[in-house]
Amino acid sequence: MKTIILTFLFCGLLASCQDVDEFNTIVPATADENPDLPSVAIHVSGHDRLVHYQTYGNMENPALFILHGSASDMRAYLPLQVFSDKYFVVLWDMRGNGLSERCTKEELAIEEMVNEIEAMKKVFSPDKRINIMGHSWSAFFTARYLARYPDHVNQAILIEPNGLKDEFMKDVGNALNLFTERYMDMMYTTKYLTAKNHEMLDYQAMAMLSSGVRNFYCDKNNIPEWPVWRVGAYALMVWESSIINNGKYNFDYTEGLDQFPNKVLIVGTECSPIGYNFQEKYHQPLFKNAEVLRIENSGHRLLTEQFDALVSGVKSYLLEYKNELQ
Amino acid sequence: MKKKLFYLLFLLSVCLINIQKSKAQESQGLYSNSFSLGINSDAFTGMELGYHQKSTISNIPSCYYLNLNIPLLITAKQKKLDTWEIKAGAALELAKHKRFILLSDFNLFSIKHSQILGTFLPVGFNLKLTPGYRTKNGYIGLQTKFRQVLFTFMNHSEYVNEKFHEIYDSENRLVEIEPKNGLFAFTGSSLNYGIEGMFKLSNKLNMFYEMGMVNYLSKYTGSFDAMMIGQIPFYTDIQLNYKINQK
Repeated sequence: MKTIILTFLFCGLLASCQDVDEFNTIVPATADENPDLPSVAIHVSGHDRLVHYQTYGNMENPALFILHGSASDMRAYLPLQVFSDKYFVVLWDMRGNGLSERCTKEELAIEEMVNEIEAMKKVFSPDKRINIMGHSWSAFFTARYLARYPDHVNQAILIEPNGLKDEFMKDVGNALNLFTERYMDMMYTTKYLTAKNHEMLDYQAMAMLSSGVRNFYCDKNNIPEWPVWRVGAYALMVWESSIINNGKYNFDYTEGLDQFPNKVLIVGTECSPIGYNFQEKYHQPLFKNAEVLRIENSGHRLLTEQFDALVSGVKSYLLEYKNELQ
Repeated sequence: MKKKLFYLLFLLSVCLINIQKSKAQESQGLYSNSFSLGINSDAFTGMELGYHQKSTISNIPSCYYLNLNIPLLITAKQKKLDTWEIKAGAALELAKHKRFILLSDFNLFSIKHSQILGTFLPVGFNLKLTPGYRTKNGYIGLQTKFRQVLFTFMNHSEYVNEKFHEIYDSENRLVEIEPKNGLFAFTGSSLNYGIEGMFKLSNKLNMFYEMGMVNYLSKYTGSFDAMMIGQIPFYTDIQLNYKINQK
């Protein structure tokens, strides 16, 4: 009898609990869950998905697409709206990231991320070439976009793309510091939180932003701030696993880059393992015409570390600003 | 569905405790009154202190235990004891046939963990079954352990709160939302499978060990591709049991 009563009370307690996959419970809701968010539906990889976006500036101006990096969303990139005086700035959370709709593994394939850029171009700049800026993994997608759609792009800025070929990665190194306090906390968290859904997966991955496992910073003991609404953890897992085969890097996305006719600006920092030296050595030679901009005293999170230096360097490259100076 | 699963598991565990299949004699050394000190792989290095009380449950050789588990490296880095786990349960020798044995273990656990995402207080249970083989000085067996968190109290930190800030709707109005604190049901589960065993070091000292693989029961993460969120697919545990009041 006591057992039955206790079981009944326990079930009652469980029934009163919240569910982690309820909207806006542990992570902010995505555009398909919260219709108040500014979003647009795009058709990629056989699916319609809602993409959370922001635009700044006059739609008549040349479009400047700004793509965020992995484990991120567009929040850290919003200050780049400074370019809206000359450009129609378009930022969005890529599918599977930020506050955009989550999607399947197949929809997150690298070629589908390139298709996403094309889909967004059809929405925001259907009749004109775009200018495009990508950071980290998005610089990777942007480079691939240049190879597939060279006549859709006017100017391109690649901010510290990952190695575009497997053999480049030997210079990056795989050194991971798993003994940071934050990473060990993440390990311990798996004793009671399981990534059964995107909400929990993204929630746990939030701790990754300050874990310091990979040293992409000038001072690994003072990791720069990086504002994010919601990490797209599954997307990052899919992208990283897609370039690895049997435990080794196995990919080559360098084909066609030399066909892009215009000058490309590649940005590299002083402290990042995929910084200035890496970009100059491996990526600059891949293009017909490329310049490498060096940002001093900064790591991979240069938007929060050296924002002014980045903007100044990019303005020196972008035609609308150069035309003004002339 | 989740609640049905919980109820089924609860009933199963109650049934296991009440099985009266074993006609074994009083166990010759599997269970004893003892203190235990162990090292496990929780956040690379966890330390476990415990007390075991030999007993019988419905004539089944068993022992009750109470363990305190502390992640050493986390505690050292935080410079305070702010993360721990308490387990209380019973181990039973369910069945025995010649040298073959079937062991079971059920415990309830409670954790406190303070970290960058907030403070978490989960409560759950572990249920283990081990078919094994008695050796002269102990046993060795294949272990399957199911771990289920029943509920977790979450108190999110400012770090998490901040993620809900500066969100604007399509009219450019600030969306004012905050994460929800409180009780959340069934936040985690995992299935461990591996080997376990015990052997006698001396009349007073036994060593218990277990090691194997962890399946986090998530459709989004495989065994090795979620290490970036801390999902390490291996576990290990070694304990020394010091017998007390033994002849």
